[in-house]
Amino acid sequence: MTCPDDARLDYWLDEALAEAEAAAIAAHVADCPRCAVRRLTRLTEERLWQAALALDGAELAYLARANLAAAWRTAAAPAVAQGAPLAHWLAALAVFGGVAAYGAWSTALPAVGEGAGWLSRLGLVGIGLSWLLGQLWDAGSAIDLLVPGDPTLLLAAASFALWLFVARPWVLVRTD
Amino acid sequence: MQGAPPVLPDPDAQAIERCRAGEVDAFADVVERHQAAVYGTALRLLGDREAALEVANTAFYKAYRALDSIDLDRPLRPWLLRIATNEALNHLRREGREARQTLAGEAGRTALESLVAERADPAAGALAREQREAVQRALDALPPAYRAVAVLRYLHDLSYAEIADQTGLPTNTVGVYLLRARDQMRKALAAEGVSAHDLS
Repeated sequence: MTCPDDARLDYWLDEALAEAEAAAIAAHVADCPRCAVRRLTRLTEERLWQAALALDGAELAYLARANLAAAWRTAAAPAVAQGAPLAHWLAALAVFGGVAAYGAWSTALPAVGEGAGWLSRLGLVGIGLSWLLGQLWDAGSAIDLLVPGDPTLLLAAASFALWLFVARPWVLVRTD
Repeated sequence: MQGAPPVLPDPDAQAIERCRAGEVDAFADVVERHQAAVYGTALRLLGDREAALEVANTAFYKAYRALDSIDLDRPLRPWLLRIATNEALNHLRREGREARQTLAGEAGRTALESLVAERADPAAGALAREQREAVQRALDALPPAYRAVAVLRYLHDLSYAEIADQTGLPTNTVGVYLLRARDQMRKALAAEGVSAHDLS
């Protein structure tokens, strides 16, 4: 067999030749000093290119600083939050409870001077507020189904309306 | 009596199953495992670190959006490399340019950081910086299609059949492109006075 041309030698080294032809070239290269040198040169060249194309320390450091994976870890956070609206409800309930308590206190305050009768009136207001709270809580669950998005804003608005109704703050600023 | 050795679970398949179940966080594991290969492919094709980062990000997003269509019995990396290669080639087409590093700007910073890295890690400096840069320049001078084939061959050590699968080219065309790429690179390197003998 004559020496293979450069293309055949490259294909042979790339293991891209049919089995019979590859075996013939292998046998030739084993016996031909010139082709043995050509083979070594090709392998060395391939090693050079592989080493040159591999990411070096600086390139790996740049990639590490870019932290591509972080975007995916951050992306997980909203999904988890969407699945846990309990905190929103608890916050709304705390606001509502605070407003209702203030309303009850404001209602009871004028009655303090009237003696023992205020206790029963405060009790009635408390019962009324508890009933309202229960109704709103149930309504909140229904609203959750009917209104897309977060219903806590609606609950906070209801709390504010309740406070206006019970505490009547405009009474405090009347001068007549 | 000995049973068959236990088959280790494929971490990529596990991560994809978790993603399909709605656990977005699991995809971060996939990104961490393959980012060097994906980024490396883009970097060698584009010759620009920031553009390569953008392409790598896009490739991972596209992969994530197509998670439902992935065959879990096949390895993930070739599929990711295919997306990255196509994205990088599209980037080159969009930009209408062939990325070429110069010693100003980005390449200057790279060279400086390489110096620092080589001091910190002598093994990393085993291949002379000049040789690396010469090979990258020779690669940058190739037409994009030849460059893609050369990167898949020399960066990822893929066979002709695998490169054909990645690029959608016929296997014979891969061989021809690789032959031409090598020929042009040898000439370019010889013109710069870099030869394979320098390494030995």
